[in-house]
Amino acid sequence: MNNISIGRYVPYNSKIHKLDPRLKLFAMILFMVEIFIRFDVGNAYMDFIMYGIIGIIVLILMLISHIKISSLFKQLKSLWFMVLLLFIFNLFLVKEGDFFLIFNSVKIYYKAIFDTLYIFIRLLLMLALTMILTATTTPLDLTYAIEWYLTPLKVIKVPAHEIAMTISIALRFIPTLLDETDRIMKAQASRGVDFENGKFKEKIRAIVSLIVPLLVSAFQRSEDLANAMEARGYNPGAKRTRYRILKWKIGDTLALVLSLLFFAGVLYISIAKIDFVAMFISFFN
Amino acid sequence: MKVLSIKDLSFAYEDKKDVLKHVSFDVEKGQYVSLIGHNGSGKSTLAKLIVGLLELQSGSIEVFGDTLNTTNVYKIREKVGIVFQNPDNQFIGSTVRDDIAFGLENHCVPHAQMDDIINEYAQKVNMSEFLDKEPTRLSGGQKQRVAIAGVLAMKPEIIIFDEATAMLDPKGKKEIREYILKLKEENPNLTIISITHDIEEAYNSDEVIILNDGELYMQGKPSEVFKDDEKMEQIDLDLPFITKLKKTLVMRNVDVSDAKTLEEMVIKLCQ
Repeated sequence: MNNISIGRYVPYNSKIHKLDPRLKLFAMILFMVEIFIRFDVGNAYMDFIMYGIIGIIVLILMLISHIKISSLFKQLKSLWFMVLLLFIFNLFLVKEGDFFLIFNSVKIYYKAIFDTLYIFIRLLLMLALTMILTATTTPLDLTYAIEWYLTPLKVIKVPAHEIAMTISIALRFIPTLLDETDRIMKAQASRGVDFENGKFKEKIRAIVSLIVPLLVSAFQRSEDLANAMEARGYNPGAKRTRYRILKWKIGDTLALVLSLLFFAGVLYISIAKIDFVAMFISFFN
Repeated sequence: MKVLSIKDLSFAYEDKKDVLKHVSFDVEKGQYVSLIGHNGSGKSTLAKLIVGLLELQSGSIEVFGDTLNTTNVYKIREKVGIVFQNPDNQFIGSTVRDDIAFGLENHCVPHAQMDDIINEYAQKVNMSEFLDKEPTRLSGGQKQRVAIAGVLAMKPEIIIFDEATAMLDPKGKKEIREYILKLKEENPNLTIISITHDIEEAYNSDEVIILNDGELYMQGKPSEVFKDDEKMEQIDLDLPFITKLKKTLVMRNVDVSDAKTLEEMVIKLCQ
């Protein structure tokens, strides 16, 4: 259970750790949008070149924020199955363009392979980005950032503070519930439940034996927590002061300008249909 | 001066039999009161009623002369702090620092003062070096100490410990117990209500209240309450070690009846 590092804050004193969470959240959303921008110049190279550029930047960000690359690959383990499933679907569903080879009268198209690859790269990049965000930002800071973005929506009665509080508590309890899951799994295993082997039906039964006690305990915990919060004077409607106050620094402005420039650049390359490969070839001719 | 006065309190959870039946008692200022009784005797329910976590059904609770009702419940919670049993489930902040700050935020303490208060109370519970640690990196005893700091930082006049040591290992139990005693020494005006299964702790407190099956069974000084061993045995409550020892010695015609502490007992026996 301890190999789940997504969503886990890794204390370190890097430049990225010090950035304002509002900026980090905004920059991550920009990156996410960039990942979904397609570069339609008639060949697949341009997409991969741009993914490569974004990938290198993400890699640099990971290095600065001191995240181990190996921890990203650990996360990938759970993705392989999804990617494989997607590939199989694509094999049968995508029937456009040139085909790659014929296998037992099933045509395998280039597009099927590329589409799967695109999705895989997107997932990988998104995973890396969320990891950078959550590993360098404490859940609480992140919640404050979300709250800050939601505050204007208070006008239309969006309970910004309550949403933020709910998220921060959910985040706070992730490790606790993971430990609990681990404990219940061991307890059930000691009673003969096999989580690893068995037929599909048996596996489902094993998972039910895990989920039911986990839910019961989660409800118990939430009741206790609500009591503890109320006893310490928490009143959602009332005014409260803030311990953590977000401070915008010069470095944040710089990072904001950089990420906006990069975003604009990517957007321009996409809209203007700039083809690096064609440029490269024409440069040497 | 009475700080807490409970009058004819009864309570039942939905469609179940009464958990509390006509309980009445007073608590004097600066007392260390132990509330003991078996599981299901209504101890925790009583604690939740006092801080207004459960709605009163019949009877009344007065805290510093104010009768608890739905409008003044927040005001009363400023005066009454409670430390619960489960160290994990009352850790609200994502770090020790944030957890202590949680109560301060609720009480609208200005931001400029918060750090000083947090440092002061973390120091008091010996958690200064753990201020930036997350709860998963702390032991149960450490988490309970944080919970105590969080409650103390709000400067309550009554603290309720609702089986605060029940889920800790022996070392953690000892730490918290010693800390409660230290707390009482340092703040003579602080009233402590400790809900506990620990007979030895009850023996060392100023006053003992025993609840049995939702009813007030006994109330008084520990030396008097535990003297009545027949009444204690009737409800299957264990006696403190010293009372048991005294009883056995008296049965063998050794007169130690006026020894109140273990030390006195030792001196007496060595004579």
